[in-house]
Amino acid sequence: MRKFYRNDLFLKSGVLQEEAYDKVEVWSREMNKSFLKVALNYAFLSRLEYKQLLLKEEIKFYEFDYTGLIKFKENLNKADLDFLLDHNLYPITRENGLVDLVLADPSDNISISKFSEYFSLEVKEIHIAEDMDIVKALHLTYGEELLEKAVFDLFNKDPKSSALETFTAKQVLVLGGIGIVFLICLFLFPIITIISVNLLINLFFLISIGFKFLLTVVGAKSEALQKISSAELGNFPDKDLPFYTLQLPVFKESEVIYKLASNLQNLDYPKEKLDVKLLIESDDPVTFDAVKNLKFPCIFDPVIIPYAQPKTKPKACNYGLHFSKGKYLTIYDAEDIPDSDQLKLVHALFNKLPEEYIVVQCALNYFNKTENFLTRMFTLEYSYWFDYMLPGLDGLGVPIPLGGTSNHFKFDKLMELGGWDGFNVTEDADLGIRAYAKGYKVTVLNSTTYEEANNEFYNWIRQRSRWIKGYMQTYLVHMRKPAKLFKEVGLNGFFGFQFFIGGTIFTFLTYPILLFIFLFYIFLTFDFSENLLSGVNTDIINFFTLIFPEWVIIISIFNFLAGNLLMIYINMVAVFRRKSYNLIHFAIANPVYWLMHSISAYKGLFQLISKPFYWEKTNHGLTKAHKPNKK
Amino acid sequence: MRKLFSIFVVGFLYAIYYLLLGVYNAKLGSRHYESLFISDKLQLLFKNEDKTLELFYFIYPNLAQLFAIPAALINIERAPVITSALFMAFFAAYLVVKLFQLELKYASVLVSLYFLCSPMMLSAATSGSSLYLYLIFYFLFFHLIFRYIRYFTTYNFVLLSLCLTLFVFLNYKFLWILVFMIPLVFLLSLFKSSGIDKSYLGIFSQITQNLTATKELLQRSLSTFLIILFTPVMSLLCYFLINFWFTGDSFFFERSEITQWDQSQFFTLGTVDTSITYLLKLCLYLSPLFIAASIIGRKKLLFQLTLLLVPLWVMYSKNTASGTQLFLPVLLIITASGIAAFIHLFQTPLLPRFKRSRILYSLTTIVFILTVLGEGLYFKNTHHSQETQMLTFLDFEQPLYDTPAKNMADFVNNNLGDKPVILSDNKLVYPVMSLSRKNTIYLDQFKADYYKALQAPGRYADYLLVSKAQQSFFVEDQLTRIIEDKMASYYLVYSNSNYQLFKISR
Repeated sequence: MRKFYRNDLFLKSGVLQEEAYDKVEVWSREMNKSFLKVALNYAFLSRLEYKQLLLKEEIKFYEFDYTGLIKFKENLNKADLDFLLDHNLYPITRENGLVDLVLADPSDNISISKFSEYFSLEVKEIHIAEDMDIVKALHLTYGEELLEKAVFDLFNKDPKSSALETFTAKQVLVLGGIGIVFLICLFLFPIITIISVNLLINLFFLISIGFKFLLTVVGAKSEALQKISSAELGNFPDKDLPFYTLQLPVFKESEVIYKLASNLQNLDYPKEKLDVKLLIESDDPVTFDAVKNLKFPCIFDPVIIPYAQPKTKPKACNYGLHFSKGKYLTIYDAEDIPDSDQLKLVHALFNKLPEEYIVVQCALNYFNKTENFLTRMFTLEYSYWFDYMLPGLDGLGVPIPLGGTSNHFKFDKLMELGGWDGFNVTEDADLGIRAYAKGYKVTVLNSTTYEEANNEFYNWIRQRSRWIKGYMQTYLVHMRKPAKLFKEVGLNGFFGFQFFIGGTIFTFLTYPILLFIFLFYIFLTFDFSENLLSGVNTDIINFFTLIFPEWVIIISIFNFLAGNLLMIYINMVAVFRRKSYNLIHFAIANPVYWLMHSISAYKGLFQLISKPFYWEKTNHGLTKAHKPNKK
Repeated sequence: MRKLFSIFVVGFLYAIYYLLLGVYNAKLGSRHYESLFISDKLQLLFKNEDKTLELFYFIYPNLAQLFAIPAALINIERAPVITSALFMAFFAAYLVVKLFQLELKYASVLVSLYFLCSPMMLSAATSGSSLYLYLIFYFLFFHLIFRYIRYFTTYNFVLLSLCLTLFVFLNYKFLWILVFMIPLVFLLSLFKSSGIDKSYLGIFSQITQNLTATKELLQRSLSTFLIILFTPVMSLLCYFLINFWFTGDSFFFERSEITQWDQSQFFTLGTVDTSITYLLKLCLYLSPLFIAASIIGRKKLLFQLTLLLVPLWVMYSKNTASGTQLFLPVLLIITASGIAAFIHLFQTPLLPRFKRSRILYSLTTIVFILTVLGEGLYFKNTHHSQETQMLTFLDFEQPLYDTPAKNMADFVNNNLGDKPVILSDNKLVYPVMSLSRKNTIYLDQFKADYYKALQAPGRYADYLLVSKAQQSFFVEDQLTRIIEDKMASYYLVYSNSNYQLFKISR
């Protein structure tokens, strides 16, 4: 192959300016990564531009056969794999102990020498391939063991914390027992049983909503609280900031990759201290190709996740953990736009808080809030969830179920907890509870990440059914041993868990039932119901009078009206704080939004039994809005 | 935690004090009619199976009844008094501890004394009427607005909205104050804006020179207003709706004769001076605290505008209730706003001055003395039948109004045997009923057979309990016709100045 010099290839060709070239060289030495790796992963050079440069040089790319990849060395350890990844090298075995090397930079003689030295092998021939192809080939060839860990590590270490088993035998027995007792009671004392069940449902519904309102009030109390002042933020100069890992799991999200690239550029954190991992599934050629053909420089290091079931985000994140190098780690979705100083704020907060705080959850909100009815309602919901509920939980010392993204971990503690549960479809919520159960604490920070609100009905139902199913999984996992949970999280934590996690599931499942009964009862009180139902009317009224004595009606009516009013009000207050004044009146539509939740809840319940680990994919990039409209 | 513990301890001591006074008061025979009314309805609620819904939802103010339910488990007859004593005790404790924490020890001592000897506080705590709720909610209303002025957090508006929601179930008409709050809300929104000059000039330039800012300001003001009024107004609408569903009348709780203790002012009518001069005199007795606070905070625009709500509300109330006079349920706003205003001033930059200045020490003492004296004068001069007797126990006197009801109840309890059935009109006779329900079956509006019994008393009842013909409210008694038309044969068993009991001959 023709001989290439780095100077000619990068500098004289004009793809890098001298200043950038020097910087890449310095960082390359400091990080012990190849020159090209740094140039591509730290936004000095775009992949497409580099590819075009090589094509101009008439270089023919090596094509991998991903179905027939062969290990050049058995028992390749993690450090070996890291070496190959850091230098963009894929070795191919030849006879007589020689190897061929596939690399992405034809001028990278340093990496070739390092390889020979590291593995004590002589390199016979050099092939050139795109860096993404090399990364993919490396992960598919050597990532098997890490993948196994990503899926089963938590289950192997702590099976009781994993949702692999949806219902334990004990839980089935208890649920079955309750069902049988209910049927016996229904047979022996039908009226009392129906009244009792009705009463219990009503009371739990009211307490759950009352608890949410309490959280809102407590959360509202802390609204003016600035956990980190600008003076405190100034105490940490850039040179003292630690490495920070950002995990960006993506799946079929080619549309948002472009946005992601620009959003990451806006982060106010020294680039060289960022360890951004773009987690791409190996069976996602669309995203893979989109990254390969990015026209502008990006700050991320692609990690290709080998195929395995269950195909969930936590599995991908767990796999990514093995390649993370930061002191802290956070997760963002591809379309996320975090506040620029978020990472610095988190670092300052971790330094301020006691050691037991291991996770910081930042607020999430939407940049496409006014796109349609759904995005407006979603914004109302997220505003009260992240601005009031979670701070409320924080204030009361109740375990905080983490939100999907923008949760910042102390990396070592995250590893100690066993990472995410690959079988739980709301792995974040589960991890928040698990952290509390292990004696750690989670707190919230008023720094916002703007996301894309789901703007399409079926897409929303799919996403929500997954969330509610995940809450069901989380509830079942942590209620395997209620006494143990009580001991671990204390009184506040235990009841908070019941009414927040359990209550959320319960209210969505019972809401349509209560609504139906309420409306039917009201219907019966009107004169025209007699005409409509003719002779049956009296029988129905008699039956209703039996199962709804006046005192039950008092509770039901109060419950239903107060519950709905409170939820509407909570939504109003939430967007008021966000200054989204034009959304306030949409809070009145909350009962309709709740019905949508109920549909999702029943879908989630059905899936919990039929396919518990199935990850309902949410499509992103459907919005036409791009920038956060904070007003 | 320490604060909560302190409030608990101080509140506990106050509670004992108020309860002992309440017991002594009751021993002398003094019972506020509202207290008797609540007690009567609680007894019905716990025993009556016919109209539970009506008793729970439509007795007004619901709040007084609802809050008394836990105490009813201890003593159903004294539940209203126990409740008012406990609420006032912990309210007092909250204020005392708060001032103590602000290191205003002298003010804390004065407030402690105020709650121990103020005629207003004592009557609110020991009467068992809903006055304690008015005092506390008026206080909270102003306290929360003042807190917002200090911190500008939504939290205070949420609580303010909740406070007004509770007012729906105490006196829904208070929601009209929201109308007077419009300019205040507008200015609060303006002052919340960052980067504007918080002066009259700054306000003017904000409004007139920047269209976008003006638009946002209007939006914020409207939203703030919505946040404050949503829950109270929706709760009120729901309450109207519930009334309509079950009775066919959205205002049933107000129009029905048996849902309020003084529905048609039977028990408060008398020689009441309805003049403005008399009202001003009553207001003046209650206003030393209010006037002092207004003078101290005279340079604070939002503070003054908030306090302006008080005279506006009194004027509005007087205007809408022409021909009648205003008494404590309205006028307590003066005392409550005065307390809230002082608590607010103690937390402003004036605090260091309060701590240092001897003049302010003396001024506070004088205000305290004037307030107590003014309240004493109020009770001496009030024409309200129940208010006049609230402090009779201080003079070791038996109250004038309660004695007939108590005497009749004693007679019924001691002379009619076991479970006699007495037909009577609840709207007038509930004071007797509440004291004698234990051993007696009253056939009143809360029983399904009441209206049938009015047609044929002899078939349903053993006795008739009727108000006395000499009393002005006699004509309102539904049993009057039975007596006048001699629908049954009966003979008088017992009579006193207000009531007469007849035995029906079979």
